[in-house]
Amino acid sequence: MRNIVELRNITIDYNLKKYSLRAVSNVSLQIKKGLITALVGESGSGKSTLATSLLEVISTPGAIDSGEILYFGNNDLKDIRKMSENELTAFRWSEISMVFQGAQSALNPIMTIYDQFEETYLVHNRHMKKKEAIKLAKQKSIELLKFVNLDPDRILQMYPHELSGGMKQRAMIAFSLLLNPKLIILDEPTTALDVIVQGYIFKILKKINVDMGISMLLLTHDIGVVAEFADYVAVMYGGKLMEYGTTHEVFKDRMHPYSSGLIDSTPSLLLDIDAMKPIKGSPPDIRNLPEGCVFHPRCDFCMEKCKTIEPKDYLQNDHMVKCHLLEDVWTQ
Amino acid sequence: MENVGGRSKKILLGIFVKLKKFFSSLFKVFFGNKLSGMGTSILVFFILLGIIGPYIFPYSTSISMEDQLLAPSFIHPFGTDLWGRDIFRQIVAGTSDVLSIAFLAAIFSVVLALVLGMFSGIVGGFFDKFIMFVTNVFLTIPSLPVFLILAAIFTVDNAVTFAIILSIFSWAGMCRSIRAQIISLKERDFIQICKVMKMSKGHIIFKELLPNVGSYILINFIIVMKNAITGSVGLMLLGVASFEPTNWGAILTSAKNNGALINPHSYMWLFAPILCIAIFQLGVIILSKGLDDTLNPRLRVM
Amino acid sequence: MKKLIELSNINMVFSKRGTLLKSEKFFHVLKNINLDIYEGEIVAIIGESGCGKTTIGRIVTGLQKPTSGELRYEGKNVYSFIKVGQEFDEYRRYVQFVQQDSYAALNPVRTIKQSLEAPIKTHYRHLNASEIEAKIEELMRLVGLVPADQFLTKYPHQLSGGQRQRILMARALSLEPKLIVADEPVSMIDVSLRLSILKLMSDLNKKMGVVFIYITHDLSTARYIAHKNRIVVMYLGEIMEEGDAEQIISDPKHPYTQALISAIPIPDPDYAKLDKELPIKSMEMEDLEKRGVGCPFFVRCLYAEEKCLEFVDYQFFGKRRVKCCCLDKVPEFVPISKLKKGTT
Repeated sequence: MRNIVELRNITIDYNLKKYSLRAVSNVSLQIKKGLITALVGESGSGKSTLATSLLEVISTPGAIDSGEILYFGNNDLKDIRKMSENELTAFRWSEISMVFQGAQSALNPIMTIYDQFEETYLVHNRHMKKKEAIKLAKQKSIELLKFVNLDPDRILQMYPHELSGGMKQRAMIAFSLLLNPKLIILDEPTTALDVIVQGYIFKILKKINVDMGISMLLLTHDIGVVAEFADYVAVMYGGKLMEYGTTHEVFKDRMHPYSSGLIDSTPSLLLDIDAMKPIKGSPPDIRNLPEGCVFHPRCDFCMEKCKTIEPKDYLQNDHMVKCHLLEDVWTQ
Repeated sequence: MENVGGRSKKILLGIFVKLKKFFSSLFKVFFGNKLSGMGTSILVFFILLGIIGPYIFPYSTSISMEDQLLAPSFIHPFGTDLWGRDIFRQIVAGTSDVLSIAFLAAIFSVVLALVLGMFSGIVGGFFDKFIMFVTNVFLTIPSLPVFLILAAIFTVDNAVTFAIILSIFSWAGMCRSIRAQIISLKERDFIQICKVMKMSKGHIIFKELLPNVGSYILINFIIVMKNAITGSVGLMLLGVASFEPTNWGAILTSAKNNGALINPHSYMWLFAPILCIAIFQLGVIILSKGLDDTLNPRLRVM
Repeated sequence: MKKLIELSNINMVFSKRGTLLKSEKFFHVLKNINLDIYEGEIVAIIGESGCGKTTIGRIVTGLQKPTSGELRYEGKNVYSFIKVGQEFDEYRRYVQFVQQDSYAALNPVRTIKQSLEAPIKTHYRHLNASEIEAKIEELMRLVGLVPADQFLTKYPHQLSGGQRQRILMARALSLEPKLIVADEPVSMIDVSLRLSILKLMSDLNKKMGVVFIYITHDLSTARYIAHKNRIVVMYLGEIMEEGDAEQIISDPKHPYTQALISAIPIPDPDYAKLDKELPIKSMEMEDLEKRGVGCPFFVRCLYAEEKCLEFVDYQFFGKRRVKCCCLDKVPEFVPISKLKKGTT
């Protein structure tokens, strides 16, 4: 399975006036081409920061401290961090695009849906004649809205605030497809949406993935959505990558105490009431991360060395687990 | 007997602890960062100057024409005026006057804005509309002509009258802002919960709403002080109000009226009050910026 | 079991003032709601946004007066009490509220101790300072925040979401309520901590007999907390189905409930990958303004027919009720667990 993006040893810091916060610490992650990778984490895990680094749009004062972000989209290798401002502008949205959470809409509230589509299209197609570009933009917009089951005649003339939550998200998904990107980052695309609308939106996203072969990076904290939808799962905690593997491996093999705890603590319709149990303790304070393994204060399997030594990344085929429990069992 | 003594000791101790807490949090607010520390120091300096200055550097109004318009020296740090009187000591003597006018003007403005703004925001309806109409009037009418008219009608011969006139135009903007804050706070969850828990109206107003506008009031208080000083100097220069000849504005007016603008020997007479006013303004501006930094991020951080 | 609260023919209509160009709009948010709450139980009210569940919560806590209908507490009509009369005060004390946004529900410029003290001082005037402190410590212990001093001196923004939510719970308990309405209490909390807050509510119910009305759109958490208790399913202001929690989840009778349950993603890849069709006719939502007298689920229901546009009454199955006239057409729901693994 080829990768479309490889993050290698990425560290991202937020440099504040008095101190700096390490939001992401030495994370190496692969995003497979044509598949859906879920990035799971709770508050303080660093997943949003990591995802926005792919487009070099981390909100200040965050900045990538070290590492490489390699992009293999066009049969060549490019380091996103080394791109110039011009290259980045051309790169964003045409190679990698993003669908944000409902609240932080990428849609400009004072422009109609069509105006936004047209503007973005024109900006990225300056080499074309303007008339030609406008015609293509209109065609593409109508086609994309139909794809997400929105009526183009109605929707294109509307302003974002006139759309319901579900319609807005679908419009954003259509917007993200405008320039035929190879990878779409979805940041909690269905929080604040009802469960039936959520199911509908994921159906559309699956269609996009299967029919158009577009890779996806899905950020979520909803375990159910991950199981149903993702091919690969990456679990982050306290800025570190704890586990990475196929959905089946992560859910069934239960190799990492945090991932396992997360799955068990999610209320579901299936499990016995008594089988569900919360993870003890509370999420880490990024200003004061625990020593050794970041998860050790909350881990049921905590050993002495977990308190002082950070576990290495243990690998078996493509399945990575960062836990001392695998020390003599898997290779490093 | 012992119990009574012991209990009153406990009460005193309790009061002492509360006072200590109050002053230490006050200290943290005013000296919390470099800016507010500097600003507070400047203000405190002027306050002390106003209170004890006149005892250390007493000023006598006796004229001594042979000392007129002397250049700055050790005896006369700011030189002397046309009548040989020491300018530095005049300034020291006038400090308390300047500060009390500024302080009173700020108190009048803030109290009026607070009472009307909170009443307007909480009660709503007809009173709200009426009060907002009144603030609109005060915000749109040009202040200077009104000052002149008022000064012509009322003799401005003491600090209180002066302060009242100066505060007429500073309360309206604050009133609107406080009202807006109250209206938005009213809908917040924690106020709704007070209703569910049947908390008294008095509690909601004084213990829940008022602390939230506290920082805004503090910062605006000192800004009104600053504006009052400029306003008072302006009015004095226009000859509209003048009672205390050692008031910095009065010194300035006196200098101007007696040829200081053209006489090269009297530059200090003009310059000294301006310098003091400028430093005071600077202190207030720095303090308000510093307070803003201390008080607001704490409220903004999630 | 004694009836604590009775909602009788409750209707809630919100109006939006008309302008020169548009006429006045009416939103019939709750329609003829009849619901009884008994002592000692937990009732989970589930539904999507716009179904009126939050409005019911606000009506029960006295924050919103219904347009018509009666709210009875221990048999007495709450809104017939004179507003500042003793009876309304009592009601306000015995029914408390825990909101969704724990940060907005606490005064940002007061410490936790001050926020917790305020209601105690108001309602328990006879307690002196040390008794109040003891009471606060006891409350903190009940909600699992020990050592209490660690939290009491802090401001809301210094605590985590989960801790704040527990403080809200402690505050609600301080007036020794008989009933607590919790509106989406865990939706803003990290997933791994949700269960512990839900367990807290469940324990408080068992130990202290406090009734909980748990309002949510998340059926999975509702299932956990309403275990061995009741679930009420709402849609567009009407109660569609009501009954024992396990029964409703394993054997939903109303087409809407069936659709809701099928839409919930299962956190198990073996089951999840089974392709499933949502039993819904269209994604178009009914218009809240233009509601007719018939079934609100008409537009999206797979089994709708002409008779559904006329008045639809409840059908009863023991303690269960379902508002549907076509139940004979609705197939029996096959829960995911019964489907064989790996088959499509």
